[in-house]
Amino acid sequence: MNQQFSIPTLRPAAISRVTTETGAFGVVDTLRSGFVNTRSEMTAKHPLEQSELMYELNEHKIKLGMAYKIGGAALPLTIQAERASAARIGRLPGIKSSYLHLEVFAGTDEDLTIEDVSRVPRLGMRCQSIPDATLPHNYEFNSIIIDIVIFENIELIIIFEI
Amino acid sequence: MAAVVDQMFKVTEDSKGFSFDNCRRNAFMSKQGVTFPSARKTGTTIVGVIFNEGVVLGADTRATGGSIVCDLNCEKIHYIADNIYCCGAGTAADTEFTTKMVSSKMELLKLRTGREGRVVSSLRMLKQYLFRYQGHVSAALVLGGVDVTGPALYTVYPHGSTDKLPYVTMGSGSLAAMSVFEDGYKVGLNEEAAKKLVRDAIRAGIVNDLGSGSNVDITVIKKGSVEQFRPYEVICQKSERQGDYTFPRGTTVVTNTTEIVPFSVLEVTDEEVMEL
Repeated sequence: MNQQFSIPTLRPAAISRVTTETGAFGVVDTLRSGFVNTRSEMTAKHPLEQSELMYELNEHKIKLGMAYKIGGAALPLTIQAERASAARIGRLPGIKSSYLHLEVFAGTDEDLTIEDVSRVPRLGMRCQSIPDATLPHNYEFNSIIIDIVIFENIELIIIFEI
Repeated sequence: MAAVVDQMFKVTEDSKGFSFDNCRRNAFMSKQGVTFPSARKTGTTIVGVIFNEGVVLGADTRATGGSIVCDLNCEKIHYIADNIYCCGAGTAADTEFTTKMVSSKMELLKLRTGREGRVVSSLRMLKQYLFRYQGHVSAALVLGGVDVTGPALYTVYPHGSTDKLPYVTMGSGSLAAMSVFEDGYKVGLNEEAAKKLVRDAIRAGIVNDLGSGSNVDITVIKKGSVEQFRPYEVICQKSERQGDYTFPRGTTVVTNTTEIVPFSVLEVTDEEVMEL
């Protein structure tokens, strides 16, 4: 338990978790993700790329480590339990959740980061998942979800009624 | 449980924030010899000094892009909160965005706590933001304000280190300005003396440093009041043209001063038209 909640360094030292997108049969989908260049995948695009990818997870680990020192062994476990349950609260399957409980618990609803300034999802930006295919088949629906669009930070679901 | 937590932090291709997609292309292009446009910098003189009632912040107003002056009168003293202001040196976009973001965060904090913000809060936000980007966000700042604990003055370097000092200078003209401060600073200055000292320091930076120029801007922060002088003084006055190079209508080149033959266009009679 002690080792699990040691405070990591401010600069994240871990390795990237980004994997290439594979399409059907586990092969790289050239149409969607472009040509594969192994060397470019191995080397870093920018010195900050790794640290930016790991930043939120690292920050969470720092908070857990501090909670262990301040509140004892139970506090980080309680925090993790509440985060995990908040992450499971969602909308219909296939539709992205707002994670409101998670944001309030983490304090990010009252905070601003660079992600609120640059590359904010614009109006009419489409979600990546294919809505109808991700719905389980035992769901009784007499309509087909054609598209999911982000409009003013709210997901709009465009439904085709049969 | 760990798997769910990890999934929450998994980064997808459509993530927000800084994008490093073009970095490889840019590195390749610069290796091929393509010159990129230089970032607009505020090669600058910014200063701050604590006096007996508060803080005086001063800055010049020149913004350069390479060796060209982009902006003769740019604003380098940025608003963070009603009682906190921040001078910015370095890349103009970086200082602008950083101070705007910290200003918004301070407002959110003020709404959350119901209290007037403290200088140390904005300092910690700046410090953590700049350290996250390891100096790539090139913003060197002088942060000053008056809060419940009294007047406070800090410097923030691009890599995230900070200093708490009674008088500070930053930017390319910082050495010139610091020499004026080292000579003239005393503990317990009054407002007029502090403003004069800041004006002298900025003037030293403007006159001796090529990256600084134009006017002196001053902001005086006291408990409950902020006074902004923009400009406090114009140092670089564009001079009047000495001579006038416009020619009156009808002027032609004079080739032979001894024989000036008056020639009227209306009196030409002899004309030979050649027919082919």
